[in-house]
Amino acid sequence: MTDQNDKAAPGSEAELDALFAEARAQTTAPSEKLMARILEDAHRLQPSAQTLPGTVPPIWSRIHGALGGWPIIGGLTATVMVGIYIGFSDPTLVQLQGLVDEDVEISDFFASDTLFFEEGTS
Amino acid sequence: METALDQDLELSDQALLVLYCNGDQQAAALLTQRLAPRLFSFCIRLLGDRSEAEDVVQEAMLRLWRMAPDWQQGEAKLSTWVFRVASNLCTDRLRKRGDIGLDQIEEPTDERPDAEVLLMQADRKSALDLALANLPERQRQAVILRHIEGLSNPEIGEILGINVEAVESLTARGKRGLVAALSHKKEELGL
Repeated sequence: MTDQNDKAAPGSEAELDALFAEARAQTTAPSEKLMARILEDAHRLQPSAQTLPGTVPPIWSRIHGALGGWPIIGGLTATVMVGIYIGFSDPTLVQLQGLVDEDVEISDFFASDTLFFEEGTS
Repeated sequence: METALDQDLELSDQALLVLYCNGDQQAAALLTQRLAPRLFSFCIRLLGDRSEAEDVVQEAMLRLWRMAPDWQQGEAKLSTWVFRVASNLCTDRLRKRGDIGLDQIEEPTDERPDAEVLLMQADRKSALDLALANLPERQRQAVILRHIEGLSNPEIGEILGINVEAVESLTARGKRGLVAALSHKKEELGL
């Protein structure tokens, strides 16, 4: 027993403080098993970055979520690409010869509509 | 074990919790190393039973992981929050079983080397543990948190849900009770 312990016999507040100091030095460590169990719980319950409090996900992330994910976005992209292709492709590639008469007559089915335009310009 | 992340950045508990939410597994390990030993020390002194103390610490930490995504920055210290959870869990257990029986505290043995020295140290520790066990529950919690775990009075107030004046009153009465109990043991312990 050390001199400090000999002096620290119980009976006064100062002596009690010495006992508290000894108690602080004699803490019982948790077992490795407990630490492992706690970490196991931590990893099992670990949230993803999207659930962070107070954070707003980037605009692309929100669009991605609103549209319904990659399958939907893939389908939309394919549709847009097909539309662009049709829009820019050469219409003469469509061969109509032999399917319709070569003499084509253009008729103005809505001749009366031109009246409105003429009235608007006067 | 102090890791490079802990040593270099000296991150706060709150910052580690945010990293944990971001998927950083090292952050969980650091928080566990910081908080679990302190919680365990507190719980085993309150409950006097290693197995029960381990269960309480695991449950308190489990609630911390569950609460992590909803943690509001700046509201309270993380350590204070988790101590409050552990304190409440200990209180529940103590109330279920009545109180700590004095016979549940381990008696010192003389089978180890330097048995005489160890016996005297164990006697002093047991004397303190016995005296603590005889205090009313709130006084016991306040004294352990203040004088053994080293928390501040405002922190203890948050944990126990009382104001600082009430904490001071509890610890003062607790210390008086301990002095009285230990003075009776003085001769018996040969101190």
